[in-house]
Amino acid sequence: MATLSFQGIRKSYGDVEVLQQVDLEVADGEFVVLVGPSGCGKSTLLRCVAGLEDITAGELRIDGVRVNDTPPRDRDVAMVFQSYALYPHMTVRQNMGFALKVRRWPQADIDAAVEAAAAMLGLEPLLERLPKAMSGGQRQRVAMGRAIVRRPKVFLFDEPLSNLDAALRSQMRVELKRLHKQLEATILYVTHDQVEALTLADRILILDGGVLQQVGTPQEIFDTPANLFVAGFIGSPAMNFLEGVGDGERVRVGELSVESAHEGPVTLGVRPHEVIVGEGEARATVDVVEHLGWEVHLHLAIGDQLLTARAETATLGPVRVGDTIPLRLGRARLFDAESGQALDA
Amino acid sequence: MFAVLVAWFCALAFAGEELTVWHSYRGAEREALEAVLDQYEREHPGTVVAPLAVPNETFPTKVEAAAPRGNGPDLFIFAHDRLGGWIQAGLVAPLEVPDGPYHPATVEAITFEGQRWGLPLAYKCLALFYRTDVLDAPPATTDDLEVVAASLTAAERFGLAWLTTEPFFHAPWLHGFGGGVYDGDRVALDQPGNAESMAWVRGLQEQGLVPEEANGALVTQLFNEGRAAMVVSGPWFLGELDPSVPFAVAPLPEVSATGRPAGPYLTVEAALVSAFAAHPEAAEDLARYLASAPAAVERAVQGRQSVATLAAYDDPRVGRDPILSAFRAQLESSVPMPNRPEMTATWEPMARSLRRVMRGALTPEAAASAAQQEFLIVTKPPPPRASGTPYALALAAILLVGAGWLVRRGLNAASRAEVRRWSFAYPYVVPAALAMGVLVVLPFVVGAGVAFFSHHAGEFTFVGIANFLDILFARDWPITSPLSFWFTLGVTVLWTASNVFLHVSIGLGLALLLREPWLRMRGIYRVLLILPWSIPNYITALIWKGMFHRQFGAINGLLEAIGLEPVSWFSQWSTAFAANVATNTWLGFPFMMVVTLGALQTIPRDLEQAAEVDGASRWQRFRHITLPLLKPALLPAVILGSVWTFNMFNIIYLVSGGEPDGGTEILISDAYRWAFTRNFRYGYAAAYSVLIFGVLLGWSGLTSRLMRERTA
Repeated sequence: MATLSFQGIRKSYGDVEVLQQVDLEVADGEFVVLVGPSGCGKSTLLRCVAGLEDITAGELRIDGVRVNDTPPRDRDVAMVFQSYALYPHMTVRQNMGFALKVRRWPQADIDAAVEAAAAMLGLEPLLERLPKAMSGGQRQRVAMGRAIVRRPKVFLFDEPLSNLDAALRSQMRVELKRLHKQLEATILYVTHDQVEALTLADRILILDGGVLQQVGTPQEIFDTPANLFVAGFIGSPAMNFLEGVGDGERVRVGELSVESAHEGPVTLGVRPHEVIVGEGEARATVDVVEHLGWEVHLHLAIGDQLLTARAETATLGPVRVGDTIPLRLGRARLFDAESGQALDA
Repeated sequence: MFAVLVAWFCALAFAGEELTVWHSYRGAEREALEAVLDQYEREHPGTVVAPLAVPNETFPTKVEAAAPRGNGPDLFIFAHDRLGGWIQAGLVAPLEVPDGPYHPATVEAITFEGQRWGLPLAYKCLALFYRTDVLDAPPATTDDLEVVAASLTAAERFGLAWLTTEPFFHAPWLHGFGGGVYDGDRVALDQPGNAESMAWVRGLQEQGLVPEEANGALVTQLFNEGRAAMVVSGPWFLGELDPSVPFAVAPLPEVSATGRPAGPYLTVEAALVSAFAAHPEAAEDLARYLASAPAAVERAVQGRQSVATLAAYDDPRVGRDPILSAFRAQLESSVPMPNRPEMTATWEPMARSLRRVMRGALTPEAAASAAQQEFLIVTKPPPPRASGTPYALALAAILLVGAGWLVRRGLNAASRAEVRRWSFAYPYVVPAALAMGVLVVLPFVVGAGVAFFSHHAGEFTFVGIANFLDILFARDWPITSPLSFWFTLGVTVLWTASNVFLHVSIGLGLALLLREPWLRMRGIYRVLLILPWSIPNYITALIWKGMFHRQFGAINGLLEAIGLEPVSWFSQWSTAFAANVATNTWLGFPFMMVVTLGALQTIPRDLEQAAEVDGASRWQRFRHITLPLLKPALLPAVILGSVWTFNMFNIIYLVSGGEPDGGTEILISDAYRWAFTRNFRYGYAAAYSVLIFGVLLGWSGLTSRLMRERTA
């Protein structure tokens, strides 16, 4: 396994800057998830590591060795593509053994490595099948098997679960997590799905428009988002943003308020579970009710502000659209009204 | 309405005496002929003459096919050299031709086995054209000719030019040296004079006095540009001359070694009355009118024809014309082209012997004797008539089995229900099935049927499978002879394999190159690379043929520019074969490139990138990923390409022409030669074609099985 180091990585196509200044140190065995909306540059960053894209500026090191100009085949990284990119004319066995074959391993060693990897992923019964004779989930497994069979320094995953249905996706998430533990592998994982990011990552790296927004553990990202973008992107339902004014003791938004020493206009970020309904002086009208079994999402109107609240079904009691209910705010995070950066107060 | 009806009736009434006249004249000759025919109509009210110009190359086959079915002409005008075959086939009616009015040589030309068969109208023969700006008077003897030619020869300039490897153009010297094609009634290509004449021409070429491997276009160009002082050619050369070139025409010189005049072949255009004419008397009357002195003067003056009617030369416009006079003088020493049918089988051996001598492969004596041997082989008597009974029984048995199978299937209730279920579909298929039947099945059946016959002088004799046995177990020549089916099959397979290999590898390489991201302006390259495909292949073939010319070709020019010896491409088997392959590769790679480009679109880039990350080198990616994925698209293209190449007649015929000595001939071009240049052995050629069909059928069966196994 290996460390990965990004130092001032830039990537541009002509005049278009796709990545601006990415700095990151990935520790040996760390699981780092790159997350962001479509077109944010996360896949490009991954492909730069694979060597499928040139790096315009900056340095990329694997295990301390500069690899900017090293061709993909000499970087010793493995990549799982979103499309799986299984070789359609090869059986599962041949697909998984291909990387070893081109390295001219003896056939016996190839077989051993393929079978070990297949056992790890439960692929043994499929070894002689062609990709077209398998389901999406099976193909996905084969793609992973192909990556792990040669024990590369770094694993790269490019949205590997996005073509699977929801049930399979959550199952594969668990397996990925287990696999990571088992292999103690350094993994760089691209997704646009924040659940995947939060559940899998040791650390999350959030990109927007080619600019690094925040790097941190899932909890850090969730609890202390660095700016409005991160705050809005991570967490479901999304964080509520309210325009408030501080007077040095409290920041007020209409009837609602939170305790803060801030003075002047400010943006208040409140996670839906911190919108506490059933108590407090403020009153809101229920606009939409979403029942999710264990919990309920309430879309509320208070004055001209819209708010999403998340409540436990058991404690909430019956609520109907049009009802007026009391509410108050719990913990909130303050963002500069102008720059959107978090105010660490 | 009434007027239209009246006009229609009148037309009907006159159509009773409509005479059809076929000819192959063009330009001024055609206009002159039509003027004479108009005059005849005016002088013979009630007779309508309908002339039809039929292209020269297709004229014989058209007449042979149409006349016996009553669709042919009443009168036709054509060169006399095909006369013998037509008379034997019963196409031509005999005519009374008096001795006096026509030049005796022209009368001899239309005489066959003691009988006269048509009225001589005009004649054509070779003569000497010379540029009056460099030469005051024509040489009188071949010794003079050599001296004059040597004095006018310099770098890139020749004293003399003609088609030295064409037997028709060699004939003057053949006869001048006392040789000829016939010795009495017997074809004798190995007469001593023949070898001597070839030795003499070879000497001219060795001295550099004449260009090598000359073709018609080259000779014309050299003369027009002043790079050839003298040219041996016929009246048709007048039409190719640049109007600004000062020239004169003179009879060919006397051969110094023998004291005989050079004797060019004489072809006489004769008016022939069809044996199937609807109005034979009227046709004969028209023929005599065309040959009469006033009509001859008209044709000579307007059409610039050298006419056979002697009285026409009394008219000063004809008698004092320098060009017509020169041809008239040449007529005295010319030799009527033999009109016997086997004559057509002498051209190929003679041409071959000339080319062998000119490139120094054989001595003139050896070449002449080889030519005689080859003539005897291709004209050997046809196989004996076979009894048709066993074949008829076999055919009947096959048909019976086929019918039985059909009936059994038809009786099957399930298949009958199937037929009824789709009954509405049959009318939809009928037009296409009909077209296929008429255009494909019928010619195929007829062609295959001809393979069981032997053709001689318009008559087909049933010989059973003798043609096939002759081809497969030929005892007249060794298996290494270019005449051998097995040798030619070997050449064809090699030809196909090397072409397909080059087409695929070059096409594939270029397609992969066109996909490279660093390549700029790939749209332009793509168009440029498809261009060879979009040019008609015979034009490309002729261009490449020119580029491979020994003396004037671009390829030898290039070799010389970098200090290499020029190559005589068509003198050795390997270089001639390579020239053919190069030409066909130029034509063939774009198709494979286009197929590959299309197939590459269907291969996701992910796959190659996955392989790249997996550690595969560029070659390994191509070998293990790209190539296997291209296979499903490439395999049918390769099979198609191999079938096309197997039968690529144009390139072989136009580029090497089978040179040297028929060695680079492939099966299909050899079949053509058997049919059209070797005594019209249609049956033999048809058997060849059936064998070619069999080979290709086997090949496609094999490949389609291979493909099924691959996809299964």
